[in-house]
Amino acid sequence: MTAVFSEFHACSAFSFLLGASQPEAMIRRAAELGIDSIAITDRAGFYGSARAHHAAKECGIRAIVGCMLDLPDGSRFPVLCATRAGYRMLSRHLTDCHLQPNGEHLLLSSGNLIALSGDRDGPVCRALLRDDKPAVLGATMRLIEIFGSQNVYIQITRHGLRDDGRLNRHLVDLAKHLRLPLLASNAPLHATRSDRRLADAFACLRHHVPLDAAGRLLASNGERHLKSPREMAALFADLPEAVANTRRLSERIGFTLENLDYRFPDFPDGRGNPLSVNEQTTLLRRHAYAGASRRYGVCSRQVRHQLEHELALIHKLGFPGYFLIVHDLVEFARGRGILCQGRGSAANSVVCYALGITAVDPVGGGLLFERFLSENRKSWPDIDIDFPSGDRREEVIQHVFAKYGARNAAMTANVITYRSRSAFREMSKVLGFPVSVADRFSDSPSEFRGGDPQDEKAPNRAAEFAERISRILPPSHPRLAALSYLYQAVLGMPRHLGQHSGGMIVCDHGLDLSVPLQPATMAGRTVVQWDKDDCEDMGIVKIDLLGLGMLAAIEHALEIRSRRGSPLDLATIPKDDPAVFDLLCRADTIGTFQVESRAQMATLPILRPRTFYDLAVQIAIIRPGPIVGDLVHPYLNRRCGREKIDYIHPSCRETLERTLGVPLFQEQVLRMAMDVAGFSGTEADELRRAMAFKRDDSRMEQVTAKLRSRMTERGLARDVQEKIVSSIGSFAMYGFPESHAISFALIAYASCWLKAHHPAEFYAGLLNHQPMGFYSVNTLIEDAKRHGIRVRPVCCAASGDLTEVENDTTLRLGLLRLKGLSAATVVKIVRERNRSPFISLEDFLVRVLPTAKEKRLLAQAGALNALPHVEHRREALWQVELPLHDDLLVPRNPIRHDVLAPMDAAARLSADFATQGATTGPHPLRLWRKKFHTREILRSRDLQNLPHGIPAVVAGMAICRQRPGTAKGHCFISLEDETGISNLFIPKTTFHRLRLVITSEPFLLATGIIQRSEGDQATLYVTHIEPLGIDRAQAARSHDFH
Amino acid sequence: MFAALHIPDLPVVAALRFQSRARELPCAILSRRTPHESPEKLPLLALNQHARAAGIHTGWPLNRALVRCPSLIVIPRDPAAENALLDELVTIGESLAPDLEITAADAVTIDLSSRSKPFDFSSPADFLIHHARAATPDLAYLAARHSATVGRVIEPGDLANLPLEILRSLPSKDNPLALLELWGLVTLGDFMALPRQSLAERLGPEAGRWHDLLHGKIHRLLRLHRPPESFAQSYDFEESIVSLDPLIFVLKGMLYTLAGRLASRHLAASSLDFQLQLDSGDEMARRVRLPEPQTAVEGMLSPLQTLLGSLQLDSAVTTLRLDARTTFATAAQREWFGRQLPQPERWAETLAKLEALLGANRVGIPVPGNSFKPDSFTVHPAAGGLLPVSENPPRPDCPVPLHRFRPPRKISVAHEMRGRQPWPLALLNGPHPGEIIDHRGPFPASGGWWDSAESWQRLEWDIQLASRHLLRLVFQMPDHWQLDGIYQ
Repeated sequence: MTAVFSEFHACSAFSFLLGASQPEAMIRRAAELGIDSIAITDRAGFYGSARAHHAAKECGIRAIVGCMLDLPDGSRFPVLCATRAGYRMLSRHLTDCHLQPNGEHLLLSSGNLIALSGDRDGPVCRALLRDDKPAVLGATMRLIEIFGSQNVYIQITRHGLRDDGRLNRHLVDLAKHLRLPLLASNAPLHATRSDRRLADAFACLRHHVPLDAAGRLLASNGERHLKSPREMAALFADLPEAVANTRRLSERIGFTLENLDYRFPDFPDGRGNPLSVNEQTTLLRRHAYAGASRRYGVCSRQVRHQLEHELALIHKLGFPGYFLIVHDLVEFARGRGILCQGRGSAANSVVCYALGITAVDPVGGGLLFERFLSENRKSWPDIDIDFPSGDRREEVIQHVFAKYGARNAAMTANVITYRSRSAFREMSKVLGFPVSVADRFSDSPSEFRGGDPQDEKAPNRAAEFAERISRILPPSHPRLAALSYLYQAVLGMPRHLGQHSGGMIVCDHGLDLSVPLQPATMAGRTVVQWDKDDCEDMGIVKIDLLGLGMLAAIEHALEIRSRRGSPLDLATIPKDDPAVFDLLCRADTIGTFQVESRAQMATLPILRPRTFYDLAVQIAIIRPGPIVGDLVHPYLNRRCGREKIDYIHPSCRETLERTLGVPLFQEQVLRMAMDVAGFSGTEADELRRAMAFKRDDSRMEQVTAKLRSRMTERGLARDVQEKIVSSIGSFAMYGFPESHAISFALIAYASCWLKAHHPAEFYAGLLNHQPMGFYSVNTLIEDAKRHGIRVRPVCCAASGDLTEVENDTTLRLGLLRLKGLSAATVVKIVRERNRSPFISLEDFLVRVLPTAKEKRLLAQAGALNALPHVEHRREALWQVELPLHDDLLVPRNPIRHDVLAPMDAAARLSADFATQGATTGPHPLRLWRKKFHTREILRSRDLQNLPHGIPAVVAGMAICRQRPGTAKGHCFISLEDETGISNLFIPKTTFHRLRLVITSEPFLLATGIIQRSEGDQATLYVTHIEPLGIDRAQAARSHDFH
Repeated sequence: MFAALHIPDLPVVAALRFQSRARELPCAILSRRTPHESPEKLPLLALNQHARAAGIHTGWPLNRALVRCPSLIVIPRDPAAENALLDELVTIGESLAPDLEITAADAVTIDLSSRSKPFDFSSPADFLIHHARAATPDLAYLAARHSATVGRVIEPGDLANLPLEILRSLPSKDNPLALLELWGLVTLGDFMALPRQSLAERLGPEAGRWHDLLHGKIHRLLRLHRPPESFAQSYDFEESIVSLDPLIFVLKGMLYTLAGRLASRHLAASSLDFQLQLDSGDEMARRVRLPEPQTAVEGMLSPLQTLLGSLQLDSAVTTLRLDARTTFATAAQREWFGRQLPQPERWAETLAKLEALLGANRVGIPVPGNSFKPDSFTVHPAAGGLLPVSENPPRPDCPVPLHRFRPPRKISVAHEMRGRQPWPLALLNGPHPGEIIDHRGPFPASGGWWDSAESWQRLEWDIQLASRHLLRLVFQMPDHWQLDGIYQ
């Protein structure tokens, strides 16, 4: 007879630093061993349950839901959810424990939950190990009180320890005495025996000791792994009922996460009562048609047809409530004057456009709705909305929490996993290696940059590790094998739970009944215990409320404009303004959205956008996908007329016409598949998912084979088939949806329009929402100056908290620009000044009471210079040091004003950079040139007039150093001087030869040859580079990616 | 008049002192690293002349220095060599006048008032010493730290051109140098020119004191250097000796001297460091821990005598050195009616005998080790007192006493394989051959997996033989069986 056994007390790696295998690994191993059901009982949560459930479904076994509950004495025991009611009860109990850790939370099981007495860390065994029999009885009786005698099992384990026999004899006696059933378990902490090594390493991290000192904190053997029913039956041959009870218990438990009762909230009517689906569809139709009238004026037949098509599908799929809720959110934001815009595939929907969720006209743009929603798609639609980052987005998030209630809304979690650096640092520490070894490993070059360690092929990882470690440890090192094993084993393991950048979940009937909530690190927020993929798997719908710095900057610029009496509406700005396209064509895009990077600026003069759609193409073209796919040049060549336009096949002409025959967007690829291979919307969606699935090539291979066979059926020539397959293959690396590009192009256009027409407001908005974008504040200020904007320094007598526009050509930096000045002091300065102007420095100090550091900071930055009797920064520095005694009489010795000499220009620059990271004064290069009177060293502006091939020397401050993975080791530097920015190209060999100078010197002197390529942009091909003798205190921070 | 002696870049001079080839290259020492700091960004602590000649300065981050001087070599600090160099500086200072202060880790200040001869100083051959003289110790010290004023007798005004940075070398609770730099002060002259009262009002009395100090208005007393007291004694035998008696005789004399010194300082010896220099050039050193702090010669001599008696030396003894670690003599009784060790000298003698027999550090109280490894234990020093009582003493694995076989008896076992595990059936040889009629186990145990040299793995069974004997049987990989013991 085949042995039957179910494991009810397994811990995964989501019992942080206790379990040593992923839940999926546990499930797969259980399935291999023939265990038909298994409970992953992680500590204080259902962290791994969703993953376990998903994996169990794939493996054809059952994942029972449970967790370990901690008791105040430090012991813990597993609790299993027998019914859905039990699950809901336990989920809420876990939420209570997390949100109110100091409260006493009663769990009233009433037969829906089942408790096990636990392993050696359980309340019963711990008392037994102390030989405290009254406590044993007390702990068991307490379990019976809470869960009922029918729902408590005495768990027995056999891990090959000498005292197992004694403990189990007592447990059997206890079970007999209280008439409780026995339950065999191996309480596994890892899937296989060999995983014990990682469990030991985690034990060391848990107790903050290295392996050598851990002693009895480690496992005495490797028996705490999953065991097969046959092994368990043999192990408990003398207690067959303990094994048989696992089968009975498994049969008794009817609940799995398949029955999770989560429903996305129905949209309520005006009185708060939820509407039915039909009512919601009616309401949605009303809103959609009203919105369409606002958007289009008179709806064309095409628009009406598309609206009807989408509304019918939304109704059929049961999603009208979702659209209404998102619409409601957007309306809330608009009502508060918060800019917002949907991005991603939602921009393919005319309903979203009509509801004001997105700003792209999908009908006019010919966008593909199936990219957003199709009949066969089981998952919910994914609408991402950008809000201004910072307080305004938080306002929307807090509105959601307030509207749905603290227990009905939460952010999705983000599982932080061990990555290369943290994995090596912690594992080497556990093995007793000095910190310097981890430092050297971190400093060694790595092939993998930022990718998910789970995505990388294991042999590649091992080879890369072997290469990196060979430079640090000799191959004969006795601990090298262990280090290598632990490093590989821990990569990708969960480390702790963070929060997703913007994913929010809402519910109207108790979200904490569906998944436990716990406090997020940010006050006022909670997170669920599952990440976004887990939520999606469990059918929990999230809405992404993302923060976009540029939206915040634009919003601020518009607000300044309104305050100055000329309000602006972004919706009304012309989309074909020549001034904007001129700005783009001359690559004057510093500070703008998406088109400000060096690569974008290099391509703009080649592409020369003259329409809004050109801008969308420009945004899409500088992406890893198109670059890897070698698609930049064909498009640009065709646009410049250097290459003939080829539509691959006549049936693709309509789809590819607007991108000159080059498929640049995901929608085009899908449409091509539909046109040339007759793919249905469903199959096209399958293709999209295959392209997005990076972990495994097999999905893509399957879809490609299908595509080929369909094209063959339709009689397409082999060379045409190859062209189509190859252009689709290029997209498998990185697909960029057209709707997304158009959404971003809207923001990019708005930012360019503001820069072209209202530069003062534009720069003020940017400066007030830093850090953001590609350039430092100093570069933005320099750019503003080049555009005729005068930037005035921070001043206690004139500055507000934020940077403000004084007039169309003048900005005044805000007090918050000073690094180290507290918000409270800023408020006091503004408040006191508004009450009455400061009459002296002493008056200022007495009324504002800044700290000693703040006094110095204000004086050093020149912010006190405008006060009466303060002649210069050093004088302020001298005077602020005098303690305030609150004297009634005027001091006898009058203050001398000539004690310290004023700062010279260089000292003022250094002081500005030290206090603000930027200066409103002259560029350091201007001072340097004045000092050395050299004409041989050219300025950035001079380079623009030189022909190709001329040798040149240029000096400047490095504001950006880049060595992207796609650049084959070459380096790009942007060198700023008083006239603009010079572009430097440093070939790989020169970079390696002069690496230290390039990466560590802020001011550089570069010698090379002028190169002019497409777009007539001058770039210096660097042959030599050396440091420039300017004090590094006068340098702004450089944005480096090398 | 005071003189100050200063070794510039002492850390690098000390580290390179005996590396003549490296001295000719640009070398630097980095300041101490915090765990999260990248070495490339660490500031330079000290440089040699070649490095300075390349245009780099202390305080620069390493990567910047490497840009200027790609051949710069970073060398580790050598604290022992630094201490030795400072000791030499002290010795040189003492040769000038007896009253001397160690002002910094690289400088000494000497009171020349007791010196009758004119001051005449030259640096040793292998390293450079800067010196300067002034009416006050602080002026002399500051002047010796800068090349512009070295070798001179200086007046306060002579310091005016020195950089302000030099004030960093003065001891200070919260050094206001950063603020002074913000004020734009560059030289000591700039500082000296500030109005004293206004300065003190702003920066407190310490800044005022500095102002006075630079104007030569403060004349402080030196914190005189006194070498630490040592109980070390040494005896060079005129003729090397080969027998024990003369050695004991000399040793006894040394112990009397030691006992006298200890008594005069109200101290007692806790351990004795004993060293023999041999004719062959070898050295033999031992430390004898005393069970109780001792001042009596007998209490100290007895363990030494036992130790010496057990020694078998290869060649004659030329020098005997003795030193003592001291502690305060025990003043109170530990128990109500008598001492814990009635005759501590006999206990010490016994331990010394055992150590002579078994070797150094192999005598003590065995304590069960913090490991699952069988028979793991640590040795707690027997001399010097009791073991700390553990709050949670480890429980024995098995309540039945086990008489261990030491060493374990290697045996052959008839077994079958169950899965990948051996399963014993009968003991084929050894002290208790016979069929296994009952067993408990296996009890698998393993550990040390992280170190190939320390890794261990075993399976244990408690077996009952037909002869009714209860034994502990062990299997170790790959095919090694042994009996660990018999249950009583």
